[in-house]
Amino acid sequence: MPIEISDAQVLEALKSVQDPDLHKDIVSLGFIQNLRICEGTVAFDINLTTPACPVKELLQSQARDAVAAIPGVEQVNVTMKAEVKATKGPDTAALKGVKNIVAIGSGKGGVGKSTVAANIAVAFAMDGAKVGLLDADIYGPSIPIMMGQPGETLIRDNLIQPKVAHGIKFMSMGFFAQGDQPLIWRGPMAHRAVEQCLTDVEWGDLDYLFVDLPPGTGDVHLTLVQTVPLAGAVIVSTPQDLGLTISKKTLRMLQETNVKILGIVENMSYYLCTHCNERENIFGRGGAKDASLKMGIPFLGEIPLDTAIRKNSDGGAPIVISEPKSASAKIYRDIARALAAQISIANFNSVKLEVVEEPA
Amino acid sequence: MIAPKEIRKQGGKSLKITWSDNHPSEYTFRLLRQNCQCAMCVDERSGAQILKKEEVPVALDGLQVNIVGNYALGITFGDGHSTGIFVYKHLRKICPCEQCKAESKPAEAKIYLDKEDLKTRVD
Ligand SMILES: Nc1ncnc2c1ncn2[C@@H]1O[C@H](COP(=O)(O)OP(=O)(O)OP(=O)(O)O)[C@@H](O)[C@H]1O
Ligand SMILES: [Mg+2]
Ligand SMILES: [Zn+2]
Ligand SMILES: [Zn+2]
Ligand SMILES: [Zn+2]
Ligand SMILES: [Zn+2]
Repeated sequence: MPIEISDAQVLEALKSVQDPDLHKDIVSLGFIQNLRICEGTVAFDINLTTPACPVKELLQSQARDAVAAIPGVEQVNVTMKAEVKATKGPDTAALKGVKNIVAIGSGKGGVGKSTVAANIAVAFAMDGAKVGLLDADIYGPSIPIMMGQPGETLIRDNLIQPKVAHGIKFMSMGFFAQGDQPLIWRGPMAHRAVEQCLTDVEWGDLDYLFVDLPPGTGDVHLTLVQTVPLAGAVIVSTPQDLGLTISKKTLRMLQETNVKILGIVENMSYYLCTHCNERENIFGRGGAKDASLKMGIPFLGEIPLDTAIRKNSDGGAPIVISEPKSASAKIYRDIARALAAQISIANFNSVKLEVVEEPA
Repeated sequence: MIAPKEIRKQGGKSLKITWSDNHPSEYTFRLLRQNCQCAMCVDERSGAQILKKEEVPVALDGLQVNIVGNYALGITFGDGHSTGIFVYKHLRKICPCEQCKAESKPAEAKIYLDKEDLKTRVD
């Protein structure tokens, strides 16, 4: 006579599995769905808050082990799923189908912000998320070249159609520039252009929309925070920024508008030798990491100075997808997952604020 | 950053905010209108007051209050004025309760970063 296994027994066992980011067990978090028990076989789904979860495999194996330890269980089938939760911001007319908008900024230009944006966006898509990338760098748009599609955009039913490449939708403010006319977007012009990219582009349903901000300026950032709710921002810096001093203006702007800083990425941290793959710390070590820890901001990772990163970008395909087995590609994917975890944590810990209308 | 925990619009007359530190504030819409920081009410460069505060009608209604990003409120007043963005920090600073009035020092620090960086919305 086989031993009867109850739902309660399985859930009790699964309660021993904690999500290390949300600090709660996976049953209380509501991750367990579709529990089926048939004699010695137990099957269930774990529905995570992001497909780019850095601890997906860990949770799956811990859950399997916990249930397998119940007397009478012979087989455990765990299906991993994900349903991205939306930022709990004010309801806005723009971007209703977009769950999380993440700004990518830096203190100064040329730190590799666009390269980071393109690689993480594609990395999220490789993990199964629906992703968009908006190049809001009105002063020097570069995303179309990195994505290998520098041509014009189409307009259909009065909506601008984003381009699609490497599994993501993208759009650049550079598409609004005419021929080789210089871009002289300033103040109100920049404001209108950003608004247009948010409201007149058919982004559709997205889990994540990354916005590549122009370096240092406030116009684009302000329009962004006033037009759509932001999940938060990522700061890209280099070891030369000396403890992030150069990014301070950007940091302050984010703080003044109460935008959550999801993390800091240090680019061109060290030199990766193309011959032996050896790491050389030509700039010293850990500047951005120390500074971010001091400020209580998550450190998402460090990217080497690697000519293959530039070659792939120039060739129209981010390294994360064109050379997926390379060391640099793996680093971008880890950074993307660390960021995904931070977005989930931020959404989990925030409450939606509303204006309650009462009679006088 | 200080932020509201609860925002209640009491008809058209007043706005009640409970802050993240549990401090309660209640503002008449007249007081809010008088403290509008938009480019029409306060000179962007010099910071000089353009709006004559005493000319704001005594019984001015608030028509609509909406949340702007994660840092401010947008308010449409009975006189049609709606260009101001009321940054939380500033709102807390102008809390009219006795305790805050007693604590507030004259010559207040600037609310915004550089005028170049943070401007209120002027369409
Ligand atoms: N880790 C890296 N290793 C080698 N080259 C890199 C790396 N990151 C970026 N680059 C290269 O550095 C240059 C600048 O990068 P990118 O355009 O991404 O910077 P940015 O911060 O967006 O600059 P801008 O301020 O002009 O927008 C590009 O040629 C890019 O390919
Ligand atoms: Mg760039
Ligand atoms: Zn070598
Ligand atoms: Zn005003
Ligand atoms: Zn008070
Ligand atoms: Zn506008």
